[in-house]
Amino acid sequence: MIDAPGPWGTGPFVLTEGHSIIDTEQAVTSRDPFACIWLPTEDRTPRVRLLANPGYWDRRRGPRLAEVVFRNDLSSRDALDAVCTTEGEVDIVTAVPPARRSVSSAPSTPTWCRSRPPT
Amino acid sequence: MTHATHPRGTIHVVDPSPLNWLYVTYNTVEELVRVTPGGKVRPAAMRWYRWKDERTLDVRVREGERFPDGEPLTAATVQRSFDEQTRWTAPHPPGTHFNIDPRTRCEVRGRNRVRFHLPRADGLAVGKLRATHIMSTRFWEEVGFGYARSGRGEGHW
Repeated sequence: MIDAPGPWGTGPFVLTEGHSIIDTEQAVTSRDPFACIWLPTEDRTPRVRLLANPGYWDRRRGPRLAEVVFRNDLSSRDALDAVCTTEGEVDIVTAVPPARRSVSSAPSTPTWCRSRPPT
Repeated sequence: MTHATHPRGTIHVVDPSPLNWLYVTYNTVEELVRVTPGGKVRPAAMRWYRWKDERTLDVRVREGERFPDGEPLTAATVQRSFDEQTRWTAPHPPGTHFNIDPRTRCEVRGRNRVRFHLPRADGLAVGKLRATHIMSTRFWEEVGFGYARSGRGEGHW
């Protein structure tokens, strides 16, 4: 994983702001026989920005987007509200719990917006 | 397949997935091969590979590629990336099944050619290269997957 933005790779995007990483500590669960597990923790900056690498060799793969911004400054609930009620604040929300998915009956709501309206 | 147009537009993504770090890595970094959505191993930072025998793998690195700071991608880049990552006991968060035998040696055979000498036959070696990131010199000097800052990489990939 990548701790800091910089010209580190030749992929379709360049990390230009922030970081999104996990760190882990080893926890011993048995000394004999030895056994251990990883205990991960996440560390993300409020925003992680990727800019298109215009020199990327595989034009069929992309990049098709000029910029991708991961927003880590919103809760899942706020993100779901923003994706359905605002323009340009949040475009995609992942890992939506099934309990929060429902098709809105509002005629103006796009069909891809499957968030339960805020209560 | 159609060719992409010029990149345009911005999207804002909220991604609580614990794999977000991997999406950032795999979209900014290349490896010698990548895996297609259909599960096929395909050349990425390499042009081609060829098994010379069951323990010797020849690779031609993609010519003309550059890192965003202008550094060219060469066989030496691949060798350093391989050597840096085989320092770790467990270099890959998904598990040690991605490990290439640490006794494997990466030899520079020209500006764009490397040869991997494996201590024993490994039919999955090419696929495992999917997890060996090809990084710039500045990355190894300044960030380095934990080693440059903390002197160790285990647990901090």
